[in-house]
Amino acid sequence: MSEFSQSRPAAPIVRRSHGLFGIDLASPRHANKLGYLLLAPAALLILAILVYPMLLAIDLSFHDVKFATLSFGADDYTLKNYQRLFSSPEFWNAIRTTCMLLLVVTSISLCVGMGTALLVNQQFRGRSFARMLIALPWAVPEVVAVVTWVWILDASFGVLNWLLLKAGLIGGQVSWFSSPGSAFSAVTMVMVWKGYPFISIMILAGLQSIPEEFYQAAKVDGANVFQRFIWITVPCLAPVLGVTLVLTVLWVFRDFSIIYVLTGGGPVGATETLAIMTYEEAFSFFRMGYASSIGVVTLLICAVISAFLVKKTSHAIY
Amino acid sequence: MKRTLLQSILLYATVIVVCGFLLFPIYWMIITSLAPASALRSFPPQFWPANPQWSTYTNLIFNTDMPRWLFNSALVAIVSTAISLLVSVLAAYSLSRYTMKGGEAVGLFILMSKMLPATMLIIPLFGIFRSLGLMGSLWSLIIAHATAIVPFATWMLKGYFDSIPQELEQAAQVDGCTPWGALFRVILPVSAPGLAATALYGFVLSWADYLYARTFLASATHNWTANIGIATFKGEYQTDWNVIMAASLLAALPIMLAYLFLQRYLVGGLTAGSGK
Amino acid sequence: MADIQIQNLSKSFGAFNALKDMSLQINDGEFVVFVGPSGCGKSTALKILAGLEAASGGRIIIGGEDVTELAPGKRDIAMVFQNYALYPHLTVRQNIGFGLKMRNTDKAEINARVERAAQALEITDLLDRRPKALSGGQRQRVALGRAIVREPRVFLMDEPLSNLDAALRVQMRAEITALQRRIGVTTIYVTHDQTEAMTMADRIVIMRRGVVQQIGTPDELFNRPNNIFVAGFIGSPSMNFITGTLARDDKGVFIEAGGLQLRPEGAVAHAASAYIGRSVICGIRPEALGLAAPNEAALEVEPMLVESLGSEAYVHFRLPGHQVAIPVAGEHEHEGRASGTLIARLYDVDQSLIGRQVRLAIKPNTSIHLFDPATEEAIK
Repeated sequence: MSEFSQSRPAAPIVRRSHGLFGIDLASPRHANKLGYLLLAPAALLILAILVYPMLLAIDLSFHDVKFATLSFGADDYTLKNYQRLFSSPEFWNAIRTTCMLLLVVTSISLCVGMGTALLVNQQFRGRSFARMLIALPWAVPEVVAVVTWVWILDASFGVLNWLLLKAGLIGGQVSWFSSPGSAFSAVTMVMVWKGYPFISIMILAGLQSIPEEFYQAAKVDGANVFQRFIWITVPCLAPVLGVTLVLTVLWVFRDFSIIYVLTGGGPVGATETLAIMTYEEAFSFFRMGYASSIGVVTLLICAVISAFLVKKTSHAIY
Repeated sequence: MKRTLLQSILLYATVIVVCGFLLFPIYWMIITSLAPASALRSFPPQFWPANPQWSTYTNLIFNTDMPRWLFNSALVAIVSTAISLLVSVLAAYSLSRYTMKGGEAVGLFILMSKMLPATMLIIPLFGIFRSLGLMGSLWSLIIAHATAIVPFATWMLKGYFDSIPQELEQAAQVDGCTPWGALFRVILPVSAPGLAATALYGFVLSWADYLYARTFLASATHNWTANIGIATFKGEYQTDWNVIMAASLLAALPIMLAYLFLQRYLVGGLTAGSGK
Repeated sequence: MADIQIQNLSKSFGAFNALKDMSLQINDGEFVVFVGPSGCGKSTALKILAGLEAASGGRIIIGGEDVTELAPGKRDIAMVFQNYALYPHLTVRQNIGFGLKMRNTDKAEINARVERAAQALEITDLLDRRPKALSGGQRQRVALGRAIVREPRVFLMDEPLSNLDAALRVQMRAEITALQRRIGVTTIYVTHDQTEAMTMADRIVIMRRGVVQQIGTPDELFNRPNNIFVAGFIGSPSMNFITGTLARDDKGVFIEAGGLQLRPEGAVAHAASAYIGRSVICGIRPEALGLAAPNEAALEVEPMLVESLGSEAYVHFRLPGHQVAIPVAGEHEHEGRASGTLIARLYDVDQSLIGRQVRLAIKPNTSIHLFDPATEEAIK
């Protein structure tokens, strides 16, 4: 064998395969080029429909213009929009409304979501059917949900008023959309109804991934139902809960359809969030420069929340 | 763990009450849509339609633009999902398998762009579509929806591809596939459930949109989607709640059915896409 | 079938060198095992050979052709993976036939060859199942079937047995060896398990931290290890290491260690003469120790632990002042035995050794290994 290998010509034949442009992407040397090639269409598309518009919007926010321009403004950059924004009571009102909505909707949705998830995580016949039904509102488009609730909340013939009257909780028919407080409650109701299913789905998935052995070990150690919930369920759910919460917060922060169709932001700005304000400024009053500056501020707040999400996600066990 | 009879009854009672309470709006939508118009202005309300009025639906289907709007919704959702998925599948695979300079940054940007407020993005898009003459065209909607679906689908599919062992396409390559062939002959067939879930999500995202549709299609009535139709019904037929509810149910039905039949895959995709 | 030349192969990830300057000539039909703890570069080397990773430098020549730049599918190799990597959406038949189909083999030919491979591996009745419906051992056979059906020039196997339970692993080990001998395809097999390496290989390439430590037959590695790492890695239980000062008397060089005189012989003794008066590390295999005869000079030890395996017993003991803690590598280098406890492997023990003093002596005609404490290289 060794003699055989010695008689072999010193320079072996080099085999190469030639693909597109003489480069075989299957060759180990060029494998990474394929990675770039596969990423390219999405990167270009994102560049065109996300990055470019986003830069335009940021540029726009530094110009006092009525309409969106496509060229990056060559002249007179101005901070006028931001100055106006920060001195506008309307803006601070929108911030306050957004934060209140965030707090109320997120906490109620979390309670409902957690409750329903724990309920359908029990062992019983028909459990998978109950699991399916309990998150069904997730599949109802927001506009449809809003219209349905408008009918339920109708002042004269709405079923909710009738029920509340019957129960003696209200003296007369409530006109849900005419006073700030009741309009805010109406928005809260619809948003919770649309928001809890996602939380429920996520928490249920989290619950299912907790190994049964943990609970058995805790039982052996003598922990009761509540101790098991506090010391096993909650810590094991923590990563899922964190991600879910932030996603829910971002949704409330940016949602447009529910509030816009339900109340249009009224009455007297009681339900006007940053998203509604941005849209109104841009498409009702055609102050697109000003609207963009609200959008940029919203984006910055969202970016802070997202950064938190990314950090949270990278720490997540799941 | 065995429950006592009392505990079982309590559990079932809770499940039924909670489901009934949370699903009441959907129930009410169905009941109202079948009620005669006169019954809507009666107190107490009717909780069960004595004589269901199917004519509400036939009217809606044959005498209004609703079928056309539903068709538009479906068309936009299908096309924007298809385009988005085409680029997302490749990008997600690339991000999942290749270590590239800047790959991580692209991935991070995609994740972050899920956070862009649509109410801000719509301003420059409005300018762009106007100058391209796309106002009132369904293409404006298709492109706008892609801004939401591409990042979402890419991230969700990346999570899915990450869960497939890399040895699978290595084996395929040793077996004689090109990397391209390994993707199409092995990885994509294996990820069929993930692809289906992602496609459905894209469809739902597009179908549920109201913001872009209302802004870009406002004047082109024949190009409206179901959601603008319903929101407009709400203003126009102020009191014909049976018509509005029937239209709403038609608009909600495709997604509710998809959810009911494909719940297992959808939930898997949802938790994989955002939990990871 | 072909021979393989690996010339100065290297791979680095940034500043980290996963593989440093590996050169090796593998003969046609040879069964070569790459062994070492995890992170030693053995899997990287295999991936580069398969074409699944690009080399940072060096060449790979299979059957006289330089394939360094060639796509994996064009190298005419077959690979078996640790997790089997069966295609879950295809039946066993389609899994085995996949490679042939990719090479546009004609249908009847594919069927015939799949049947033949299935018969050889006794999986004919599984052909229409999906991988999900198979046990671990059956999946392993399918993975092997997928490799042999193509009749490639080279088999590459990446820890193919490590997902199996112990009993099945021993059985499949024998089967793979027999299969390779029968069809005679050049095979490179990667494992962290020295027993697999010793029982299966024609030649072993033992690696550590990206560097080849020694290449040789199992016997060579066992009897003439190049350095402390190889000496400690090969053999189970691992070699005992003792420090001592080398001295010389009229009978030759020796090391005095706790009442035991260790006398290296032959070439080792000759090479050791340069170390007289210096401290060296002395390696003795557990098998080289036996119970001393009543009036023989002996090492008297208090066993810390006696493990009885029926036919043999492992006596664990300490030799204060002389034992050296050499981290012996298993699958993970840092997990190895580093306590410095010594082991004697005794046969034909007829009485209980627990709680008694044990008198140990070096068996005649056993080799003593000497290592330079600074370089850890063997003195030979």
